[in-house]
Amino acid sequence: MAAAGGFRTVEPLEYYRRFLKENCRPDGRELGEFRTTTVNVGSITTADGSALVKLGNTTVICGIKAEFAVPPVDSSNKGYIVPNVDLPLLCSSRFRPGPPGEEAQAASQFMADVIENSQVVMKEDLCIVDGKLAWVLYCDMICLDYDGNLLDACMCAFLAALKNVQLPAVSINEETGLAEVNLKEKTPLTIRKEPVAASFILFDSLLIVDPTAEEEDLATGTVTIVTDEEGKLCAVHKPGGSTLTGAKLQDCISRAVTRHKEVKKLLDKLIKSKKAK
Amino acid sequence: MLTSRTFLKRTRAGAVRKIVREHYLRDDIGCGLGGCALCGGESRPALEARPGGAASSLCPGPHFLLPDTNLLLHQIDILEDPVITNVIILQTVLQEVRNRSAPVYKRIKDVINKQEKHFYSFTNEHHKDTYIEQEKGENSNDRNDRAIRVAVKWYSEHLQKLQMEEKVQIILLTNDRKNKEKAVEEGITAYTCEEYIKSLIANPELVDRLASLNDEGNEIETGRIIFAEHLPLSKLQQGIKSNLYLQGTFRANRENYLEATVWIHGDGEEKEIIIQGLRNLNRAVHEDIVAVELLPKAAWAAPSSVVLHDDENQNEDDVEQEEEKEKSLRTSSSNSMLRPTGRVVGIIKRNWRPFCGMLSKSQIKEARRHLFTPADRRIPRIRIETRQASTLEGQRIIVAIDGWPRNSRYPNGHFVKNLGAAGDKETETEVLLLEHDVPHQPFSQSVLSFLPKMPWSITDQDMKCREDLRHLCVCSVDPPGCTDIDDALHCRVLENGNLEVGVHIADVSHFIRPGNALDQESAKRGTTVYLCEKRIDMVPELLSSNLCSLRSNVDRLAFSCIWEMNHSAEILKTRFTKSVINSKASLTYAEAQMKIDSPSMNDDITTSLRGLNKLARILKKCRIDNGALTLSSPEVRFHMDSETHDPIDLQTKELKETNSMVEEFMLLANISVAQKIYDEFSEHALLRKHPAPPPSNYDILVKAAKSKGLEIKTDSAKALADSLDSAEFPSFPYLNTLLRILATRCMMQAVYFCSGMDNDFHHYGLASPIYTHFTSPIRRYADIIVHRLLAVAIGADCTYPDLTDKHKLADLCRNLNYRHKMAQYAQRASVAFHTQLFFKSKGVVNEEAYILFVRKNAIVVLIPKYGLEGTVFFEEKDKPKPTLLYNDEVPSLTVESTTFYTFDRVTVNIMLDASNVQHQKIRMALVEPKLVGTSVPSQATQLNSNNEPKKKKLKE
Amino acid sequence: MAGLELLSEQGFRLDGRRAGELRQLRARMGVFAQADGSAYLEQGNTKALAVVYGPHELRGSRGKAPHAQALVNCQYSMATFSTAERKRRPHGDRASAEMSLHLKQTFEAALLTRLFPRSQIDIYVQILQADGGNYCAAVNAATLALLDAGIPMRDYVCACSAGFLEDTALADLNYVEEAAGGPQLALALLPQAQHIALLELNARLHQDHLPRVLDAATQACRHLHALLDRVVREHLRDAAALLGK
Repeated sequence: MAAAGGFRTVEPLEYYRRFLKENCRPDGRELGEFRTTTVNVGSITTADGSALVKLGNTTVICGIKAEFAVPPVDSSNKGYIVPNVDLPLLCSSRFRPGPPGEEAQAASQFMADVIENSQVVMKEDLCIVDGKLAWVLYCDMICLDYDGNLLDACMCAFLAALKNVQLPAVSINEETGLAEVNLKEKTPLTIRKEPVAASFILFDSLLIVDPTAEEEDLATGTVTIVTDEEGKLCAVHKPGGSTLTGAKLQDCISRAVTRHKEVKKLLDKLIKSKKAK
Repeated sequence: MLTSRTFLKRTRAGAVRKIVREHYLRDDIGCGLGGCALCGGESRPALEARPGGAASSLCPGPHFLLPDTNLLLHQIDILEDPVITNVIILQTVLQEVRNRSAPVYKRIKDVINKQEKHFYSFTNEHHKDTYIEQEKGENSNDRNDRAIRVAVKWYSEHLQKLQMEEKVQIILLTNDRKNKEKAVEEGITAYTCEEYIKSLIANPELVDRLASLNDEGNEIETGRIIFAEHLPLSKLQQGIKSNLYLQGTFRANRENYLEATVWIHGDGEEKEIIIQGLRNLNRAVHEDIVAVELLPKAAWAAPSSVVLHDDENQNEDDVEQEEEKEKSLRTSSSNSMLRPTGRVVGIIKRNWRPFCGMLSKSQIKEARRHLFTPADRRIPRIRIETRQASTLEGQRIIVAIDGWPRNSRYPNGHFVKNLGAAGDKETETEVLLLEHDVPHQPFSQSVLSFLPKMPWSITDQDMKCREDLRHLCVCSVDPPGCTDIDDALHCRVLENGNLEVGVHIADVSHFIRPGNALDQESAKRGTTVYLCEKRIDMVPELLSSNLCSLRSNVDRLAFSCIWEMNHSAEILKTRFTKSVINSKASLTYAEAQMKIDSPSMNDDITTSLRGLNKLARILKKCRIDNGALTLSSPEVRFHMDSETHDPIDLQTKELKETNSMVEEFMLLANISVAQKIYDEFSEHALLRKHPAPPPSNYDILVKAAKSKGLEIKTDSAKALADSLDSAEFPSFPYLNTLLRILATRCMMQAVYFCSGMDNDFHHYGLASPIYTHFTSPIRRYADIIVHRLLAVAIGADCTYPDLTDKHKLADLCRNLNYRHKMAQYAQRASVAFHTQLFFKSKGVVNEEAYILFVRKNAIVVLIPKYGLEGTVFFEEKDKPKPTLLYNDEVPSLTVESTTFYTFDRVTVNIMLDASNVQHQKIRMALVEPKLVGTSVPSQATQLNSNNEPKKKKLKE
Repeated sequence: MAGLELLSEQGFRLDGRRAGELRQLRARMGVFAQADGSAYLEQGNTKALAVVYGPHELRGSRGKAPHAQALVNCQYSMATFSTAERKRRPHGDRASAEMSLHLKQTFEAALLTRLFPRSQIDIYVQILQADGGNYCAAVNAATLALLDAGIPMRDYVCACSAGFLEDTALADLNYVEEAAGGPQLALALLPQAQHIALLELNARLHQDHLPRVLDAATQACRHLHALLDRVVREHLRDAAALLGK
């Protein structure tokens, strides 16, 4: 053990390659295998929707809070969805105090792009009164334990939390012009598309799925594919690094489609068990 | 310890705030039954194991009652009756009541605290077996009804499990038809209140106390709808927000039942809206908080000057006739007088209270519905249902309003209590206490439970932080017959030649601890009310007349204020301490005066008194030099027959020098304490101020003096005092007193306030920059607070949160000011009533009187002999009007050829007018000077010595 | 409308507890793999997550660091969705900075920092849901996380709040009770020696009442100590069982 540990620290690349030769990874997974994924929804009662996702060790909690706002001037029939990814100090010793780092900002932007492109929720659905009142959904994702593949975990937590959201019925009182909230009638959001992400690293021309933090550090490039339930692409994200052939990309996409099925099964089961209660 | 707690969440969202609260359910809440084997016995069982209670033909066995919310709200009168015992009040019900009616909540809490009533409040919302969640599509009312039924079921199962020898039933009382049906379906025994009360075999009279509530919709539509529907509260609130409606307090007009004003609650600006006509008044009752809609300007009206009383004989719902009258209001208005006029669209909060009054028996024999005429003219007549009309006729009774349906001319109510025969002394005293909102019920058990246990003695614990002053030669000086002695004095010469003077005040705050029921009750009462023959104590008698009363030759706890003074009465040192004293003598003013005056007496007490008297003279002179006012008001004292307690003679109070001696030291103590507590608590000191009156208030005094050739200066208190002193008229010695009486009327009311909420502290009348009340804690609650503040300031006692909360203090001041005002009114009403009794026995008399005020159509006179004030009118209905000429400048009034000025001497004829049993009056008529063309008897004029608002108007 | 009745005549608080009772406490240790120590703790609806890194070598400027003992570095933050109204600034605001300082002060008093000169111990606390007693939940969670990390301490640090209402001391205030504005006190206690690590009182309270409120808080802390101790023992038993396999 001690010898292996020392080897891992001193020659991490060599250490890793030895595992890959045997078609397996240091944590015992095959190259195309995701870590165990668990999802828990509704644990934060102060939020209008919440979910906690564990992807192996990586843990992300997403809380969604709904507030009122005036719709934007240029599209008066739309509401807002505001995602934010936070990587606090507690999630890993690799982060430093101060304003949100690059990785957190990049992740926030990625989430915003996926939400915009996939139309997971139609922003028109969030409008209450044209030009006057609309919902803002603040979707805050906090990483509690950082062990790689942040985007997959965030995407999953976001989707699960979104499915957990219950919004009260709102009507505008004609006389006073004020919003009246009916607490008894609560409805879930209409979710149009269900985007699920699958991330890969490129390592010595190999594609390795769901990397840990250690693997990410060794990788020469990463790819993230987001698909919806019909197998349509919502996003392909490949920030530089080693090059990728079209065939390899196709492999990624087909793996992402299967991943979507796995996640959907998990979420459906969860929602079902919640309803049964 | 609780063993299991189920965990539930209650979500409440407001706007878009999501509020989450925990709700713990417990298994350690007892059923309240004495010796219950399942609950492990309550420490203080409330319910009887074998409930007694009134025999009922519906449920002959022993049973517990469980009322629902509406029943509790509307039938609290019944529940308070001693016949009704063993009642379970659910937390669900209690909370709903708390949100909907503070007075009823207070009343039911008092009932629960009465041990002999055996009421138990069951915390069902936290009990694991009785808590229920609101179901989807169920509104909160239905949910609460269901919670009540679940609790009833739990109780009946619980009682069954106990396997008592005799089966005890549990009965749900509800007037809600649907709830009752559901309950019966679920196997619960449920009755309406009416059914149950009617089934009580031995108590048929209780039926009258039932509130007459017609289940809405259940009612057979008789007659046409008279009134517009009241808008629901939510609509009103929206309307008020959008300025469509205005919110205000409804003030009915005393003289005209078809007119009212609504005082709009605005930010700073006071606005008044007139409401005229039955339909526009729309069932609002005096003091209700209402929402008003303004009418278009074209429909605005002027306040009418017509006097309209709802006629006694009109017993029908004759609305047409009413409309005629309304028209008469309209035509009498001139355009320049138009005021904003509106109509009531809804009631925001009813302020109904039980009303005193008399029954006007229906002319139809055997009728059960009768009209009730309240003593307060501002309250509409109330229709009640009773079978004892003939017994209640001629009695003063109390009636509560239950509701006012849209098709009824009068509100519906129910009989609450019979006070006794009208005109009877006891009854009338009760009436005036009720009408002036003086709390006078006997102290409740929970209040009395905080009294010290007898025999009481001073313990070592009490002596901590307390000085032993029992060796001092302390004595008290009070009016004869005084049993609540709250102050005592001493004076001795110190070794350095200076004088030590002590004022010792009963240490009431030692006995009344903050926040307990005794304290709350005293705070609510605010003051002891002295009527002519009765005293309504603020604190229970054990304290007021015994433990706190500084009687002679017993050890008593006191709060002492001790000064070291030199012989010119300059204060060299002031200190405050809690103490124990032993008064050497309880003297009357006369006795003390005699001791001081008789040169042969030289005992300790007398020397002490002489010392005090000497210093008091100097103090008084200083005070007057500073500009303090010595004002006068005629105070009357009745000589009562020792057997019948009827007044046999009237006499104005005589003041001795010793009165002023005691007063001087009390003032000094109050000022010293005020300074001390203000130094210590600049934000939370309870002080008393007397604002300077606006200069225009003095107009009447200046003019009146001018008419007699005297000048009164009013630029400062000092100038006023000086010019009053010099205003002597050799041929008319009483003039000075009259001037002082008049000056009193120009003054503002002195009020309590919290130093953190105000920045004008000046006491005008006493010419002191700061003042408070410290010296009468037995009879004034303000003094108790001041004692507590002072005790904290000197470290003799600990504080509590409310004492240093200036908003709470300000609320308290508001109540105290209100109670003092009402106590004063009650006192005057009592004097007026006794004056009437006196003249009833005395018959018609002629007396000398002086004119105090000259009015447009009358003169107000004062009869010095009786200290009695009255109005002589020169106009009367159904009589030819004499020519009247009023000159506002002088002022003077010329009737025919006689001119009246202020301070003129006249002779009046005084008699009692008992034609209206409910509103007896003293009538006054002019005898001297004779008016041309009229003779005394036919020129009968009247005096309203008991007519409070008249007096108020005079003062303002 | 009548205000809330925080304590009924029957002696129950709004949520059904009696005056001296604690909210339900649930806790788990060792929830995360990355950190040296971690714990998740719920006190009623207040949910806190504490993570400990260290002791490790000093980071950042060494100027401020003490020489003879370890630097205790604390950061307290609240999730944006933790409160009824969304928090705009999850950390870095003044209240959080104050809370971080309080945590640092509390644990400097309890940790045996002299054993680790020239090193640093990081304590990070994240409030996931807030319902009153945030400081106390943070302290209790951090204690468990420190125990999980195996960093030597004088004793457990147990924290509990107490308030004073109508002459009664209430233990472990929830948000509604805190918001009512009465006097409240937060106490962090080393229960075995009964040493006070931190005591903070706000709103005015007469000193004569302080002993009673303090007593209520102390009782609550000792009760909490028993509960936390049970959590630790159960965790150890489970861990030992795993090792045994």
